[in-house]
Amino acid sequence: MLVPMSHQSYSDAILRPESPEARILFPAPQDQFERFLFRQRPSEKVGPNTDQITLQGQDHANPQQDALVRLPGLRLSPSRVIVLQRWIGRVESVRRDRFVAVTTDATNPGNPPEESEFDLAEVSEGDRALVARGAVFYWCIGYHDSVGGQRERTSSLRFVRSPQLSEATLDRILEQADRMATFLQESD
Amino acid sequence: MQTPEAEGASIVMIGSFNPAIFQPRWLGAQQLIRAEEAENAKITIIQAQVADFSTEWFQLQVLQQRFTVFTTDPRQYGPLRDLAVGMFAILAHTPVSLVGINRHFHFTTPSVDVWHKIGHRLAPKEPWHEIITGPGLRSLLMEGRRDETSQGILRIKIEPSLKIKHGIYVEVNEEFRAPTDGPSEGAQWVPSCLAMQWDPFMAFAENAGRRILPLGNV
Repeated sequence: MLVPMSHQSYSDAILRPESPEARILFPAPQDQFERFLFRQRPSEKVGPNTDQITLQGQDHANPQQDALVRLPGLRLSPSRVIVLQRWIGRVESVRRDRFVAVTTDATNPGNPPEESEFDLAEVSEGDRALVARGAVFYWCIGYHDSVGGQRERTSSLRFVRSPQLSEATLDRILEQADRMATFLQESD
Repeated sequence: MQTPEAEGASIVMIGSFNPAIFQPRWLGAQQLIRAEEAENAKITIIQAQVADFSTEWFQLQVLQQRFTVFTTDPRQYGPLRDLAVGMFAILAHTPVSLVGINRHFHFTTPSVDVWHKIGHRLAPKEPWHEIITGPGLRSLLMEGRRDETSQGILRIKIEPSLKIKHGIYVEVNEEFRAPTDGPSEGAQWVPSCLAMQWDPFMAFAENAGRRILPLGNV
């Protein structure tokens, strides 16, 4: 028998950071969508009219003046998305208003890769600059159920965004690659 | 797998973070999210001790010791991983000691009877009848490993769903610690950990979810 969880209960996991002014009560994972409390001293509550220096001074004089700030928990989306099939694509060539990509079935990985052609208009405007040979994207087909209950069939493309690495990081990666290449050549 | 009524995935890290860095504009400037997403993000709070904001496909919450990025849109699981990888490739010197990958599902059961049977299978009540009256399963947490070679500690939690009447909540979590050998400084180990573990974990979690509901049919 299972027991319905009719009321929310907080777990006893209390994170106590080194800083004495913060006390955070974490809810149990399923309760993460509820609120939890974040205790904060007024000195950290930065507002447009806050004179931080003055408040910090007051805090040192009276450390008991804590304020409770209510933080939102993790929020569930009111709508629902059901993915029917997903692919990972790699752009092979780009023409004026279309691009060709090799798509790998991520839902059924046993299926062979296929070549597909996409209209550039299907790509979100914010992603269009990313469409180039070698770019990788996620392609999902599914349903979107709105809050009002309307079901729509959707096809969505989202291009992978890689971090812009610093020169130092790039140098480090290239140096590692050179070392590996040298090692492999010497092994031969 | 039976289509869940609701699902989600999250990445949680324990370490030492500077929440004020984690702003939509910063993510936009680093081109980790679209400029439109950065502009239209809903900021709840961004301060020295906490940052919390959401876009239409993810929510980010960073405290000084805890980083969480979360989505309930199954189309965005890959992008969620990429986002976390991107952030910690840039913030490579941020101390991160633990990474947790999480997936959860809320399933509807075909009947109350099946719902009870799942509870009975997972936690037989016979031993409990002698101890308490009306024993029922509120929460079950199993711990193990995904496979023999897996480096992470895997936990599966089963509970009655808070969201769906007579539904089952399944949560799968795998926890990875900073390696004790190799380049473990800061967050340098995080991108490769997520890149290597994400896909096998997600496939495992779906398979685990698939196996829970049939327990009520026996």
